[in-house]
This record gives sequence, structure tokens and C-alpha cells, in this order.
Amino acid sequence: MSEELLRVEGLQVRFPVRNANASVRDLIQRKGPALTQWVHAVEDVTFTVGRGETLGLVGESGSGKSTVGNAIMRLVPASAGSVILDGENLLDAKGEQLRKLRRRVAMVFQDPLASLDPRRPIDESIADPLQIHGLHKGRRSQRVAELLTMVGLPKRFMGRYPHELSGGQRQRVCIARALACEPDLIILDEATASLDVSVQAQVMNLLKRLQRELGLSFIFIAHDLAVVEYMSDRVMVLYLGRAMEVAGRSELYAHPAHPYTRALMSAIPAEDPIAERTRRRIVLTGDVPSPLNPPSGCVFRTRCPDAIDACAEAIPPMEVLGEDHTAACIRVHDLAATPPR
Amino acid sequence: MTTTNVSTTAAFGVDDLSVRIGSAQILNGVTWSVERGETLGIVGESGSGKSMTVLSATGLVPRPPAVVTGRALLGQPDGSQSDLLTMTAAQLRAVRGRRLGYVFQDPSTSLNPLLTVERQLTEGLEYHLKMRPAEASKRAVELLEMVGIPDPARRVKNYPHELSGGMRQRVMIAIALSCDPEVLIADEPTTALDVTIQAQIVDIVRSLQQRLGTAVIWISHDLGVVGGLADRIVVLYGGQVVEQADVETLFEQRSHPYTQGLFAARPTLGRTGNELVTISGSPPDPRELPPGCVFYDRCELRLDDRCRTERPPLVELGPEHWVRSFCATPERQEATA
Amino acid sequence: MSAAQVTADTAAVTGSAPLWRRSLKALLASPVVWFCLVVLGTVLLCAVFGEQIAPQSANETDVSRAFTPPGPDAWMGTDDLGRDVFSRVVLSAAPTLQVSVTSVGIALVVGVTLGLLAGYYRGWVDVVVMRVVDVMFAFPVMLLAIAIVAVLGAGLTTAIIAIGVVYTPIFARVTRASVLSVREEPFIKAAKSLGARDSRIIFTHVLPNVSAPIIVQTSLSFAFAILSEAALSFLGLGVQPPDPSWGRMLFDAKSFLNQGWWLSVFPGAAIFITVLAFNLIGDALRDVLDPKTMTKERA
Repeated sequence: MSEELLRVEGLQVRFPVRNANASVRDLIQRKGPALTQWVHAVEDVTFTVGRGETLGLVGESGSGKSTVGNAIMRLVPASAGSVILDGENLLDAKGEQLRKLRRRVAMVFQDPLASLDPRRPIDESIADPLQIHGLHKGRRSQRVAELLTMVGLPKRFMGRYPHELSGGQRQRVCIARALACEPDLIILDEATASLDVSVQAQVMNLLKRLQRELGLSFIFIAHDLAVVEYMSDRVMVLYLGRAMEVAGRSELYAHPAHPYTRALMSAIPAEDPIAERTRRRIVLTGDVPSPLNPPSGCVFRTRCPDAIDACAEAIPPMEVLGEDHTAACIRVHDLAATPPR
Repeated sequence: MTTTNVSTTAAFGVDDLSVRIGSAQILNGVTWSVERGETLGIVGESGSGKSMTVLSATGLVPRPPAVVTGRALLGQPDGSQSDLLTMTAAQLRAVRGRRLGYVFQDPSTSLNPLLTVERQLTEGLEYHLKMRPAEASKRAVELLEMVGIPDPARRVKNYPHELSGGMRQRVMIAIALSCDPEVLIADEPTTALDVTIQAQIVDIVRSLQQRLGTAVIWISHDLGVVGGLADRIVVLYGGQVVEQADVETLFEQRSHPYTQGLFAARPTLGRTGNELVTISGSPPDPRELPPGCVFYDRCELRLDDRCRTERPPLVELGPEHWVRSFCATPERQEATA
Repeated sequence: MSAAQVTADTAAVTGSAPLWRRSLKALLASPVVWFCLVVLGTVLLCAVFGEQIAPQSANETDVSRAFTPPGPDAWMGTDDLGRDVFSRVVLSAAPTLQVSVTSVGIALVVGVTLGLLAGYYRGWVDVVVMRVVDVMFAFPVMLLAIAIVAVLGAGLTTAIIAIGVVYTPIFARVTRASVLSVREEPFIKAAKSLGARDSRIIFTHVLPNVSAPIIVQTSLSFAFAILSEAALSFLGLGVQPPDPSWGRMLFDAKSFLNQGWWLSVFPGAAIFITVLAFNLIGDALRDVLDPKTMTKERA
């Protein structure tokens, strides 16, 4: 692996919510359910991102994948853990130090129309981070023009408003804004999910090109396994706030070990429609459990086709399956004997 | 032959359907049909008119401002076909929900948050089938069981917010199928759902269709989902049918440059390393459609003058395989297949 | 590409003008708006050049001409003291505008600030501000204004303060409601992710995006403020005699309804037309500034 840029260790994010079933009277009398409940959004997530590397975070809704990104950016407060960027803990940073660190990490969101201020022309939006951090004073419009060229938009787009652009063009604007302060790391939160297929491919190619040219690191958050495979060097699979499996891209897709990863891959329709109709699939039953009250032991056991009684007892540790391949499943070595799919 | 037609046995079909709203030409001469027990996939990007084709055909687009021409034919039990576009509002109401069932993209906004699942299920049963309330309630539980909701007798009393996204979409399917319609229209029904839930929904629709013989129209932007489900596929672009074929033919001999680009641009498992092939630019503005081929601006195979100035007709390349392009000659197609 | 070419290209693109210019253009396309602008322009002219326009001074009495009906000598007749009604109506424009503009200005600044803070920070700021606003809403508007005047004493300045205080809660509430929805927008999250300070987010992102309902509310509030000033003066709590104001003139006229209809009709009509113009322009602004019509252009 390349030189380490970011290390996230034991990250935990919990949100308090008002318990709809509890009353103040119960609280005073010290009986009944607690007044606040905790949403276990992210629990004990650990990973590293190398320089110039893309880490894919993949999972379904409620997996906590976006919360991991938001916690790194300190858009939501982390309850525990550390986020170390080049030796400095982002979660402890305050004031000027935090603002300096923030310059080095940027974020691109899912909906490009909503993440641009509708009342400001796009060149102002791109110049926003430069103003905030006082960079490129006096030659900001040249810098904006440079950034537009970098993301493949003509300079004449300056002065246009977000609603005058197409979806793909808007996302290019968001990428230009993220690039403005020359960050080391960009967190891409479902950045291609709202785009049409033909446009999505353009944006993914653009991201790969920028990564090559600028040596950027990406955390690529997505629900689409195929998109993650195309973009990532390493992949982490999340379920209900916990890491299920982490591995290098080709290793994970060739030898998925965790039952959840296998089910997730099996749910993707095959390329060939005839093969699709006949192939055997693992269709998971039921829904993702509530993060207010996650299952004991392994959080996936309630939907796992391979669950046994022991799964309920303890939170499974990360089993090492090979160099840079770990999975949180106590049966992972037994299951390795059976072929995936 | 230069055009397809709605077959006389079709359960539902549109014939030369065009929709114009103000200066925007949303649909332009679209023809497709679906037989009983068959699944038709309608594929397109945003702005291609894929949702508009069913909404306008079933009278769900207000006229005016929309100007809808052509025919929307619904097969009648006696074997004849009647045109939905000439029906009165009352006649349409009797058809929608009863003979046409709808499932829309977002199950959280398609259900009324203030009514229980039971009320929303029994509404159609009481209105269309004139069932008594007790009878309708019993049927509601059966319907929930049919779409695979565990503990249906309890779930039927729930409000939509008490259900997960996947459950809500099952309820939508149960409502759509409650009056035993001949045609089920599913407009991006799995787009808002997770992949594992999407797989469940696809399985349910597929098995119900085999059991009930319903004709299904499945609209999606995702070729992968539609490919695993549909018997025939219509590819829409810029408000026109650009390619239409049965699913095997389309996947093996994709002929329109747009269809080819759509396949190439789609990331699929196992495709890594090389750059994805992209279609440059973005879909055309329906207010300023190019005078010739609607794909002209983005096409890599375009021939100069003819493609720019002349609108290509829909041509039958092989049996039941229709393509609208000057560039999709059989030779070229063999080269790419 | 040269700089000149870039500018030419940008200019050629339809609709790349700044948003406010586009809104203004849409606004001026309506004949109703032109009617309002003519009315309000006339009122403004009277306020500024009243002395020159009015044929007589406001308090020039001539009892021999008392109760002259409208005619060539006095267009709007004369009152019980023989004062020229037309002159008094014209000269009333200045105090009326002064009261409404200043009081709405106070309400705007204070209310919008409170609304921004309450909506953006939520928490205890929100609780305190909104409870105070709720309490103020619970009083009938005129009762509250009268109470304030009673404490501070009658007069023009008090009327301004009273009306300003009374309309502050409306601005606070309108602003807060819009801020609550805007603060959840992803572009606010995006700005935070760039490291922007709260003050920057509030002034460059939140305020411009909540400005439309505030502008509409301002124009409607002018109308209400004019009515409130008239009502206070009518009750004898606003402009003090012998100075004229439209409300004061109505107050004076109520004793002479049988002797001269013109005493009440002309100042009443002045109030009516001015208020109507502000209301109509408020509605027109609402249509033009609706962000939905703005973003729908290329959905």
C-alpha cells in the first residue's frame, strides 16, 4: 500500500432521539423506557486511506456509510474514535488548526443541484472555498477558469446559475469547488448516484483522470457495487454501522467472504439477461433492523442465511483472511469452503 | 414496412403517441404494445419521455397544457380495443385502478400518511369491485400475504411510516394488483430501494405475473434490472423510440449507437481498469430538438448531412427488431455485436 | 479564447443575466405593477415636493370658506375651518410615508435578525425568541400599539416605535420559517464542509435564499403600517393637530359626515389607493420571486 494519508480508528457516531414511547412521568418515577434513545449510526469503524488511493465504502441505506464521511468532515459529531490526517487528529482540532485541516479534505455530495446555492452564479460557488480560506487573492477569477477547464467545462459558463446547467455539468461544478483549495482527500458521497448512466460514466472517468493527474485520495461512498468496483482500490462493506468486510478491490470481488457481501453481490442483476433468469441468487429476507436497537452479537445475523446460535453471543472480531483482507464473521473460515454464489 | 403497430391482441399499447407541452416536444410518434402475460421494459434516461409515455396514455397528464395525439389502446375482455385518449374523465376513473394498476418510484410519497394500509387497500376494492367493507378487509389481508409481507393481519392496521421502504413498495404493489388488473404499470419501482430489497421486489413481481398473467410495463433507467425481467425492451431517447427488440436480441445485437453507448457506459461487475466508454454531452432539450436524428449531437457514428437534417425512420433490422438510425446498418451491427 | 470572446459568449447565452435583473424584468412586464408604481410614485412626489404641489399651506384657515364643496376653487373642497382638503391630503403624504417606512424598517431589521438567529441556531435562542413572538401575537395589534403609545405618550415618533414593535414578530416568524427549510439544504452542508464560518453561511447563503418572502412581507407591511398609522391618528394617538395626516383627517371628519362627504372621502381614498398599490405589488413580487418558477426553467 502507498504512504498512509488518513487513518480512521474506532469511529463511533451516535445520535440521541426522543423516545416516542417514553413519557416525562415515567422518567420522574424512574420506570418505563428511557426518555432518549441512541441511534447507533456508526460503531467501531477503522480504516486507512493511502495517498493517491481510493477507498470504496459500500452499503445499503442505514449502513452508516454517509455518516462516516460526515463525521470525518465534522458535519456530525463523532462520539468516539479518532480521524488522523497526516499525524493530526481532525476530531480534536479547533479554530485555526481545524480550518487549515479542512482545506485538505473536501466533499462532493449526491445531489449537485441542491448542493449549489441556487441564488449564486457557479463561478461564485467555485470561488467560495478560496474566499473562505483567503487563497489566490487578486487572481481568483483566473483560478476559477483553471478549475472549470480541469473539470471539462467551458469558461463561458462563468456567470451562469446552477438551474441553467445539466445534471452532469452541475456535478462537474461541485467537483471544481472541491478541487479549489488543492485538497489531499475528497470524500465523494454518492457523487454519481443521481446522474444518468451516460453522464455517470463521464463523471467517473473525470474523477479517475483528476486522481491520476493530481495524486488525490478518494473516499468513494456508494450503494452501487459495480460503480464502487470501477472506482476503488480497496473496498469496505458496511452494514448497520459496522464494517463487515475490508479487502483490496480484486480480492473482494473475486472472493467475497462475508455472507452479507456475498448476498449484496448476488443481488446485482447479471450483465446477460438469459444468465440472469437462470442463475441462483441469495435473496435476503426481511429488512435492515432498526439502528436504535441493533441485534446482539453480529448485527447481520437476523438476515443471514448462514447464521448459527453463536452469532448472537458476541460481536464478531475481524478475522484475517489474507494480506489486506478481513471479515467480521465467526463462520468465515467454514464458509470459505463453500463457493460464493 | 416503416412502422410498428399495436397488435390486435395487445393488452395495452400506444400507437403513434405524441405529447407537446408548450414549446417542448416531450414524445414524438411513440408506438409500443404489451401482450397479456408479457413484460415490456421501457428504458431511457431522464428527459427521454419514458414516464410520460404511460402517464399521457392513461390520462394522467393534464390536457391542456399538454397536447396529446395518437391512440392509447386498452384490450377489452370481449377482444376489442378501446382508446383511452377519447374516454371521458368518468370512464378513465373506472379504468384506472381497476384495469390498470400503477406502482410509482417513491413508496414513501405515493401512500397517504394519514390512512392505514387497510384503508388504502380497501378503497379500490370498495369503489371498483363494490365489495362490502368486511369482505374488502379480508381481501386486504390476503393481498398483503400475496406480496410476501409477514404477519399481514397485524401489518394491515399499520400506517405507512411504520413500514420500511421495501414493505411500503410491497403495499403499493398489493394496491396496484388489488382489483386484478390486466396491466401493471411499474414506473421505476425499485429505484428508491436498496439492492437487496430491489431483488425481493423484482422476484415478487415476476412470480405474481406468472401466477396472474398480468401484462407488466416496467419503466427504468437501469438496463440491468429491466434485462433480467422484461421479454421485450423499448429504448427511448429524446421522446422517440430509438430501438425496440426482444431482450435477447437487444442484448446480443444492440444496434442503435445510443443503445450501444448505454451498455458501454454502464459499470458492471468485473469491468475495471479501462476507462468507461462515455456518451459525450447530455440529452437534448425537448424545446430545442435537433431537426434530424435526435441523437446527432452525441453520436460518434454520425454521417454528416443526412443525420443532421433528416429524421431517420424506424426500420426493421431483423424479426421484431426495430431501430431508428441511419448508422445502424446490419453490417455495422455485425461489427459491433 | 480571448477575454473579449469570453464576454461575448456569455452575453449571447440567453438568461445569463443576474437573477435580480431577471426578476425585475418579469415584474415590469405586468401592467398592474405599472399602475402600482404610478400610484406610489405620486405619493412619493407629494411627500417630497408637497409644499410646491399644495396650493395652500396645511393650516391656512379661512372660516368664511368653510364647507366649500369640491369645485374649481378647491378640488376636494374645504373643511370646517375652511382649510383646503386637497392641500392637506397632499401634505399628509410625508408623515404617512415617514411613519410607514421607518416603522417597517425597524420591524424588518429587528425581526429578520431575530428570525435568522432563531432559525439558524435553534436551541434556547429559538425558544426564547419564539415565545416572546408568540406572546406578542396573542395581543390584538391595535391594543398593543395603543398600550405602547399610552406608555410613551402620543406623537409621531411614538407611532413609529409602536408600529415597528407591532410588526417585528411577523418578520421574525416569516424569516425563521424560511431559514428552517433553507438550513437543511445540502448547499449549506457543502458550505460547512468547506470550512465556512457561521456568519458567512448566514449572510452569503441563508439570507439571500430567504429574501423572497421577506421582500413580499415588507411590501405588505407597508400597507398595514399605513393603515395602523391612520388608525392611531384616527384615535388621536398619532400625528397631533393641527398637523394633517390621512388618519387624522378622517378623525376630524367624523363629526361632519352630514355637512361634507368630501372631508372623509378624499383622505379615505388616498389611504385606499396607496394600501391597494402596496398589496398588489406584494402579490406581484411573490409571483416573480417564487424560487420554483426560477428553478423550473430547465428541470
